[in-house]
Order: sequence, then structure tokens, then C-alpha cells
Amino acid sequence: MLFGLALPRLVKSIVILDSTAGRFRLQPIARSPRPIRGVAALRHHAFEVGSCYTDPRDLRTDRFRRLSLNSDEISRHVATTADLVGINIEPEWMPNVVRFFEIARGMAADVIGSGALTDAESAAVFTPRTTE
Amino acid sequence: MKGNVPASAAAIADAVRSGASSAVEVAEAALDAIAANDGAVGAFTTVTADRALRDARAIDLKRRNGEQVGPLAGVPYAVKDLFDIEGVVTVAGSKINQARPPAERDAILIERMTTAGAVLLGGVKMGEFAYDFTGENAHYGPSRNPLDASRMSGGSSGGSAAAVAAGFVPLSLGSDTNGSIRVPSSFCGLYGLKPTYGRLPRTRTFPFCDSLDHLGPFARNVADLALCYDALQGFDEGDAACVSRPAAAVSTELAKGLDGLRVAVAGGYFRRDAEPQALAAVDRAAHAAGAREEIDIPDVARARAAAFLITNAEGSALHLDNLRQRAADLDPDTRDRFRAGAMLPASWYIAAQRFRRKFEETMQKIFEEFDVILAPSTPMSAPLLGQKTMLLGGREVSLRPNIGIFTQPISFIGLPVAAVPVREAGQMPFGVQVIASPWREDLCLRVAAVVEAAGLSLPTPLAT
Repeated sequence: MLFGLALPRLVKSIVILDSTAGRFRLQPIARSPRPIRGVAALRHHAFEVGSCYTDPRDLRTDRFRRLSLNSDEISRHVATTADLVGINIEPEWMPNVVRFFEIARGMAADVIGSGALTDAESAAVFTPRTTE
Repeated sequence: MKGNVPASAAAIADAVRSGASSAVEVAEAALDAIAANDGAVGAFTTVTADRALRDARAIDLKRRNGEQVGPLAGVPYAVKDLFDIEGVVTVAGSKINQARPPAERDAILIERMTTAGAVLLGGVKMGEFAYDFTGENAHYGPSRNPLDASRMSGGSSGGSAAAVAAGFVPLSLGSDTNGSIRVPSSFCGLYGLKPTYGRLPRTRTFPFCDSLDHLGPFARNVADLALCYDALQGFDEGDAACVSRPAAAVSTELAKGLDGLRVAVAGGYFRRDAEPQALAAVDRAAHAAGAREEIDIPDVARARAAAFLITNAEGSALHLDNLRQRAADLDPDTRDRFRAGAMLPASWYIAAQRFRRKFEETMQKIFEEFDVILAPSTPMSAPLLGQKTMLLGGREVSLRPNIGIFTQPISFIGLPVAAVPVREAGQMPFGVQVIASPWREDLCLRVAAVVEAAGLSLPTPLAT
């Protein structure tokens, strides 16, 4: 189990307590994307996918662990959820479904790492209509 | 003119309006071309010959009576078979939908094409339920690329592109959720337009992913594309996503050229994994369009990832009953992606929708400084039919999900895009996306016209 404690930004590092190994270690924090101020900033702005995983917010909310299921755990999730929603998946097709789910999980890790879960208004998915 | 359809929609309409040609002659020529050559191309699923000749006769009668016949008078066209055609089953590339009753009324965009005088020749192939970038279809066979029949036409609007590139029709309509107009345009060397999300109503079309579905036209030149788009515009309350705003005619805007437009080229993500020829095509278009700067758009990979999640979740939810009851009738490639999508946690989907707003804000800041951005449509030219993998940045990856890596982030936030073909002698074409801010289709098409005028697109050879 990992626990994280963010130190002041000046330190630019994070203390990781690895309870299973029973030791502390220091790990650099990848800088979060800076606010965009004009296109000039964009030209020099290369935000690498994956830098989000050392964002303290991810450690606080335990997102990192949840997105790090192994293949067996994913297979169990897929089988359980398939039962729940009433979909029959033949054993021979399970590896393919798990493969596609793994791809989606990687995509979700990228998106959730943006902090969008808490910071942004959702795009509209419903538009009320007038009734006459 | 049997079997020889003029390449230009505008020329056909002029000839029909002036009486130099009749709509019936044009329709017969197009039907002959389809009968003679579609066996090798495989664009059409349904040819509505009786309807086409009836409509063509009606146009000729109106002209003889001195009535207005419309800006697309006598122009033959085809629609992706997710558009409802009265009396025809809307199969949407599937076996499952064959059990549906025939459509009782045309899709709203077909009605608008009819009002403009165009003549519908039928429905064309698509990837099953539009979940496709290849143009292959396990149930109906592939729509082949008319430039090289061993290659993919692209998807999911593969038949729409193949029908135009083969010379059967000068115009067609397709849909674009993640790139399904821009990818086939790129592979087949055509012009395509994916308008702003909410611009064209999707009423009476079969959906795929409501949050991301767009409709738009294909053509062999920019003027025809603009002519068709102008005929399609207008609000319709049948589509909850359609935005009520005045139509903005673009045909009259094309002659303005660049006229001070600030054009940039997308770098970073968009130049990392594309083939050198795809980047060369963008550079040639950029030179023609006077682009001076390269910009690195932040979070593009995340935008693509979020589009992937929304598509997977919404598409799967739409087909949940099919997954439960008709799984054996789904294309295996489609089925297992839908199955995986049915398992996604809701929080992932909501995070993707929220990121959509965030990425839109990022792009709005960029559009404060630039009017138009150029980017490759696809990382490669048309793959071979049956090809399963591709090289991306030196790594072998699955072909299907990666063809659209450059188109997905753009449609994710509904930006208007014109797809412009760039092609050198002896090469398959590459597409360039001309991207503008929401509701500025006029800018996309003005820049597309400038690139076209620079002579970067070899004329598409006709199959006839």
C-alpha cells in the first residue's frame, strides 16, 4: 500500500511511504501542466502523457491503484460485470474482450490523470426540450 | 453520356438548369456506371433506380414548366446506409438491422437534398454500426478503394467515399463520429466536410454515439462540397443536439481566399507518429496556405483517449440488447469492443465528458491567436484490405483503433474540419485536416479552396 504526502512546492518532491516494504523514499514530482497563457506558451509546452501518475491528487484518491489491476483482476471484473448486465461472453472470446477493456483502462488512466474529475464542468449530455 | 457522369456537381446542375442536359440523362448515366463498375468497387448496398428516375423526371418537368429546380438540380448522390431512405431498411452496415421495417420517411438531410434538386441513387456501405475506420464489413464485404482495389476505402463512411472516388456520383453523404468522413476522404483522395457538432441535424439517421455523431458531405472539389453543405444547413428540432442558429452560406465565401487568415500547423502529437509522406503532405498544404507557425496543442492524447471512452461507452449502451440477444450476428471485431465498452465504470465516462469541456477551453485559447490549424488526417495512406496491424512510431500496433489517432481529438470537441487530399504522382493520397473554431466552416473551406488551387491534389481517376 502506498501513501503520499505532498511537501511544499519548493521542495519539488514527494515522500512515499511504502508500508509493505516499511521504508520511506523520495520521488521527484512531475510538474502539473501550467495554466495556458497564450499560444506562445503552448509552443514550448510539452505535457507528457503519464506524468499525471505522480500528481499527489492521484495518490490521495487512490486512483493509481485502481487503474493498476492485473490481467486476472480485469478478467474477473469483465466476467462479473458481464453477468451483472446480462451479457454472455463465450470463453474463447474472453481474451479479446479483456484486451479491449485493457485498452480502455489505459485511456481512462490518461483522462483521469488530467484532474478533470473534479476540476471541470461536464460537457452537456442532456438538453431539456420545451413542451408546448 | 451513358456511363459517364460529369465529375462536377456544379457543372451537372448548370447543364440541367440550362437544358443542355436532362436530369434523366444524368441519372441514367450514373445508374449505368454503377451497374457496370460497382461489382469491382462494392460501394452500394441499395440502388434506388426507380426512385432516381422518378425524381429526375420530376426535375426535368419543373424546368420545362419554368419552375425553380434548385442549386443541385439533377445532381446524383448517395448516402451512407445509416440514413433513412423511405421504403428501404436502414441496415447501418449490420446484419441485425435487416429485421427492421423499411423507413417510413427520408432522413431530414435527404429531404433537403431533394428540395435542392439532387437525385438520390441509393445507400452505400459502411462499417458495422459505424464502429470502424477501415471500410471493411463482415456481412456485406468491403467497399474497395477505387484508386487501388487492393486497399481500404477507409471507414466507417467507406462506401460514401468509394462511390464518389469511383465516379458514380459527384456527391455523397456520410457520418463522422471519430473520423469517419475524414479518414475515407484521406484514403480515397477526396474532399470532405465534418461540420461543427450540432450544425447539421441527424434526424432519422441511425445513431452510433450521440455525444460525437456528425453528418457531412464528400465531393471531388471544394466548390461542390460547399454547394452541398449549403443545401444541408438548417435547424431541425428532431435532433436534440442540433443548434438553432442561422444558416451560414459558404459557397459565396470561397473566393475570399486567405485574406489575412492566421494559419498554423499542429506539431507535437500530430507529427510524432505519422509517416514521412503524411507529414510532407501537411507541409505542402501549409506552404500553400501561408502557415508560418507550428503549435503544440496540449493534452491531445488525452482528448483522443476521452473520445475513445465516450464512443466505447455510448456505443455499447446503444447495443446492449444486441449484445444480449444477437451477439452471434455482430461482426466479431465490433462485438468484442462493444462488450468491453459495456463493462466501463460510469466514472470513466463522466471523466471523459468533463475533460471534453477542459480541452475545448484549451482550443478556444489557441483560436484566439489562429484562425485555422492544419494537421494530418491519418498517419498513413490507405492500408491493404485485410491488414490487421500498422507501424506507429516504429512500433507494430493494431490497425483498427489507431487509424483515427489524428481525427479523434478534433471531433471530440466538435470542431469543424475540411478534409483536403494531397497527392503526388505514383502515390496514394494523404489527407490534411483544415480545422477551425466552432461554426466557422467557412474558414475551413476557404483554406481548402486555396490548397486546392495550388494544385496539390491530382484529379481522382474515374473507374468508368
